[in-house]
Amino acid sequence: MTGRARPAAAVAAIAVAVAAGGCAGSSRTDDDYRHKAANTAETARSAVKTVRLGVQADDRHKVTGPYLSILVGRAEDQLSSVQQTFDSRQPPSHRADDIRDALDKLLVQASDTVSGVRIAVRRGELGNLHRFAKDLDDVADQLDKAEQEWR
Amino acid sequence: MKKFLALALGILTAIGGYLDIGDLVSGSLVGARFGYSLVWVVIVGTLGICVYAEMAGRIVAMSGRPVFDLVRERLGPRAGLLNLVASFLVTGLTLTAEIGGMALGVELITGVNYLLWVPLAALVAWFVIWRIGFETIERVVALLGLALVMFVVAWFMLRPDWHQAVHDTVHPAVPQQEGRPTWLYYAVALIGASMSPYEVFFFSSGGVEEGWTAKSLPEMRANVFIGFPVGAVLFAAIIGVTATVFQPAGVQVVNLAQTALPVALAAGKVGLGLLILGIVAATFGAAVETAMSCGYMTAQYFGWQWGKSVRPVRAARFHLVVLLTMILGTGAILTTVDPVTVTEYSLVFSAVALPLTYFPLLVVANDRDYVGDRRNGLLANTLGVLFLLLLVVVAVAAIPLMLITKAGL
Repeated sequence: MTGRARPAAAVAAIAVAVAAGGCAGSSRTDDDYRHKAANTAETARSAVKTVRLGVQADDRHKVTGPYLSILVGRAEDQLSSVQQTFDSRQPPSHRADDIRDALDKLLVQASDTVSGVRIAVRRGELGNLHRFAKDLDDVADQLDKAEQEWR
Repeated sequence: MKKFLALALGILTAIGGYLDIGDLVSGSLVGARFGYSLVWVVIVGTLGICVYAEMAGRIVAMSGRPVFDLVRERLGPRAGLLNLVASFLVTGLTLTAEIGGMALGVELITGVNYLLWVPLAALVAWFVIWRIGFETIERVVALLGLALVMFVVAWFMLRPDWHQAVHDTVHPAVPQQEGRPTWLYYAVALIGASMSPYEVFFFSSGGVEEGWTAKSLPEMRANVFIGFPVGAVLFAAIIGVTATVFQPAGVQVVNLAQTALPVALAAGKVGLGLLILGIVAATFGAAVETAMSCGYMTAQYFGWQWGKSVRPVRAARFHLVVLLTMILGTGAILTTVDPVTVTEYSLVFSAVALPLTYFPLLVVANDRDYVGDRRNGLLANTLGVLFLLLLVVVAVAAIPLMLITKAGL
C-alpha cells in the first residue's frame, strides 16, 4: 500500500465500521440476545411514552392536529423499525425463542395502540384521545417490566 | 440612542442566530438521556466560541480581511488547503442537516411530509442569498429565531427541580444506566455543536461585508460576550425542558417533533406555534449561513471576488459554489437519510475538524502584521491555548468514541 493510499483506506475502514454500527448485529449467545431484547423493549417503551405525553397534551388542548399527527406518526415509524430490526435477529437457541415470542407480542400490542391513536388524530378526533391513555400506560408498563427482566 | 439601538439589535441578532439544528438535536437528546450532567460542556463550549469569535472579529476589524484569506497567506497554501477541505466538508454536512431541519420544522406546522418541503425550503434559502442584502438576511432571520426563547419560558413553567439542576451541572456524573464512553461521546457532540467551524467563518466574513474597523470592536465584543452567552442559555434551556419532561419518563429523543413536546406541554398551542416558528427561522438562518460559508471559504482561499456587497455577476464563482453546495445538500437529504442522524454525524465530524479551524486563528491573532497592537494579550493567549489543547483531545477522541459506542447507542 502506498503512503497516499493509506489515508483513503483508513477513511474507508471507518466508513464501513460506522455503517456496520447501524446494522442489526447477530446474537451468538442467549445473554446477548436477551440484552438486545431489553434494548428493543426500552426503545419501544420510549416511543409509547412519547405518544402518551402527546395524548396528555391533547387532553389539555395544548397541541395542534398537524403537530400531533407527526409526533404520533414518527413514534409509529420507530416502533415498526425496532420490530423489524429485532425480528431480523436470529435467536441462538429455543430458550431465546421464548423471549422473541414475548417481545413480539408486546411490540405488536404497542404498534396497534399507537396506530389507533394515529388514526384518531388524522380523523380529527382531537380532545377525545384520553380513551387511549390506559392502553398506552399498560403497554408501556409491560415493556418496562420486560426490559427489567431481560436486562 | 441610535448607537444603543444598533448595539441592542446586534446583541439580539447574536442571540437569535445562536441556535441551529445541531443545538436543537443534541440539546434535546442529551437532556432526555443524561439530564443536566452535560450542561457544563455547553458552558465550556460557549466560553471557547467567545474566545475564538472575538479573535476572528478583531482580526477582521484590524486587517479588513477575512480569516480564510489570512490563513492561506500566513500558513501557506498547503495548510490552507487542508483547512479548506476539512472545513468545507463539515460545513457542507451541516448545511445538509439544516436543510432537513427547515423542512422538518415546516412539516410540524403543516403535517405534510418533510421530504416534500425540502426542495422548496432550499430554493427559498438560495433565493434569499441571491437577492436579499446581507444585513437584512442576518437581522430578520435572527430576530425571528428569538422565538426560541420559548424554551426558556417553558423551562420555568415546567417548574424543574432547580437545586438538582444546579447540583448536576456543578457535580457532573455519568447517569447509572449509561456508560462513560457514551457520555463522553455526547460531550464531544455538544462541543461540536457549541463551536461549529462555520460560525467563525460566517462571523468574520460578515464583518468584512459590514466593513468593520477598529471602531467596531466594542460592538463586536458586546455581540460576542453578551449575545453568545445568552444564546447559550437557550441551548441550556433545551437540555432543561427535555431533562424535566423526558428523562423521568424514560423517553429517548429521536426526532424534532419530540423536541417541541415539552414546550407544548408547558405553554400550549401558542407556545408551540412560536417555538416551531423559531425552529424554522433558526434552521433557515443556519442553512443560509452554512451555504454562504461554503462560498466564503472557497472564494477567499482561491482569491475570487466574493460577498453580498458586490453584484452577483461580479462574484459569479462565489455564488456558483453556494448554489452547487445547496444542490448537493438538498440532494443528500432527498435520499431520505434521517436529518437527525445527519445532524449527529455533522456534530462529531465538526469536532474532528475544530483544531484545523481554530489553530490558524490563534496564529494570525498573534501576528502584528495583521492585527497591529491589537494582537492577543496574555488572557486571550492563555485561554486560546487551553481551548486548543482541549479541541485536540476532543478531535482525537471523537472517531474512536463514535466507533466504540456505535455512534452513541
